[in-house]
Amino acid sequence: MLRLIHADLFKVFHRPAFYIMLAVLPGLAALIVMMQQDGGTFTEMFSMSRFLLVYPAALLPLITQLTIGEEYRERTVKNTIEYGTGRGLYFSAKLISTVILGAILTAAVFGVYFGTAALILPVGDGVTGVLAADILTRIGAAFTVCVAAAVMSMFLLTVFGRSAMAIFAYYGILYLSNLILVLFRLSSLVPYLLKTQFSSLSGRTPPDYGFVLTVSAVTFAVFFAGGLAALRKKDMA
Amino acid sequence: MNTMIIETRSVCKKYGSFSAVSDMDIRVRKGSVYALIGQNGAGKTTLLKMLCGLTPVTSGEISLFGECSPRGLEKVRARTGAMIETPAFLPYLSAKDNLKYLCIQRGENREDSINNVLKFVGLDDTGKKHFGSFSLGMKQRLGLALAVMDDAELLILDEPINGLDPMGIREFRDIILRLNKEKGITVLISSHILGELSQIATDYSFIDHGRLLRHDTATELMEKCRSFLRIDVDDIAKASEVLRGTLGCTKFTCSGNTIHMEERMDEPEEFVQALTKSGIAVFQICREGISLEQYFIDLIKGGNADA
Repeated sequence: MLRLIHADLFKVFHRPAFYIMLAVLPGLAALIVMMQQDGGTFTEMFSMSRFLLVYPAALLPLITQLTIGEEYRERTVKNTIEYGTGRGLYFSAKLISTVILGAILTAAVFGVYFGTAALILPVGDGVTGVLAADILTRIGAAFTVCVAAAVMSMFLLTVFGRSAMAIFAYYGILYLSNLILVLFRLSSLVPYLLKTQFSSLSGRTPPDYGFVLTVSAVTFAVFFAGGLAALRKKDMA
Repeated sequence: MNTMIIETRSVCKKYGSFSAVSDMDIRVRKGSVYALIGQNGAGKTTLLKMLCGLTPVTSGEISLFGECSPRGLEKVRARTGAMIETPAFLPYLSAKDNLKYLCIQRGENREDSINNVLKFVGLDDTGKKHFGSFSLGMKQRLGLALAVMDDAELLILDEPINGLDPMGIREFRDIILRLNKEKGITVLISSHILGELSQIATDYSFIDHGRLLRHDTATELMEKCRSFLRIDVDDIAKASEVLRGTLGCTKFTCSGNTIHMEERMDEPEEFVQALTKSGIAVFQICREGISLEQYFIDLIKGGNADA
């Protein structure tokens, strides 16, 4: 498992695309802060950082492309499987690599966001312990929702094989499923969607973290099992 | 000792209602070069993919190095090097980095073994050139490099010489022969280019429409594909006496008014001279025999390949 993750990181760190993401995304975060220079404070930016929690999920297909998507596209997955690596192990390792890379990018984005705000904005009222705890809890909860979204993205890549189709399906499920459910008069299911969890995490009032974690765990379990089943049946060459 | 490295028992692979491989039984001895011969779509690649774990078996059993449980198979596949269909590597990495990536995965990150294997296949001078800009021949070589990198005991090669130029084919053949002779590596190789396989294989299995038609050892195949001189005469008894007495020939058979001569085949004029001198009429003398290609075509058509 560790060897597969190590190899994945070796591969991704050789990709210019990763460094472009690593430069562009924190750059955008810095830009958001700079746009608040007229009257904004560090405390306000800290409080508003909850709105940033929505974005990692939108970027996940880019990361899963780097870890598992290109292995399907270039058919290099066969090199790993024919060496005797179990498909379950392979899928799990790819998921962990995705989470690590996602964490690196998220840390870079938040680091630049808070760093830029601290450097160029006045402190304001000051960050209280309650506010800090609220934001950190939201970040932790958003992390679990993102892991569930990552598994969903990997499942779609495994099922469709074609990257464009998988990305299209991912955004469709993540951002349009609430509309589809309403259309089919299943609006009672809307609270169980990942999108709803992201919305509640970026809301003004703290969400029900237990519910967020349960929805994430169930979504994770369903797509992880589906991804494994799809990978086990998949022809590799 | 006839240790079997690969054994398949009634292996089947179905895609919906289509049977890509049916009831396939093959046995590959340790140290042999086992050729799988069949037309495009005969089921060669599907069989090799099942052996490598790249596609699940619908029914039947596969045994590699004596292991047939799913867990056992996963374990022993580390002793196998494979090249199925066209080699696939990451296009933005060099040959060395591609091998390094796979070495890390396999827990064998040894710089020297990567350099050695690249030298072995003649790719040591490619430097930072990306795999995406490699020629087909270079890609095939890198595929072979990966297959032999971990001191594999078994090589599974699917049409490895496809797309190579004559020089490349020769080099590839020499590499496989060296691996087999010097390192004792067992090779299972598929192709539809019979001429090439006949120069390296010790065993041949002919498959068509997913079924095994026949298995022959190299000796058996040579025996079946041998050539001879056909001599049609009016008096077969007298002719055979002349051939034995005057010319000292022993390797010939007679049937009807036809003699099949298996020696001194480059001297047809000698036979004609000796027979006509003895008053025997020679109606026809020609070289006949069944080529490997013809044997294969006859098998596919269901003809009498033993003739």
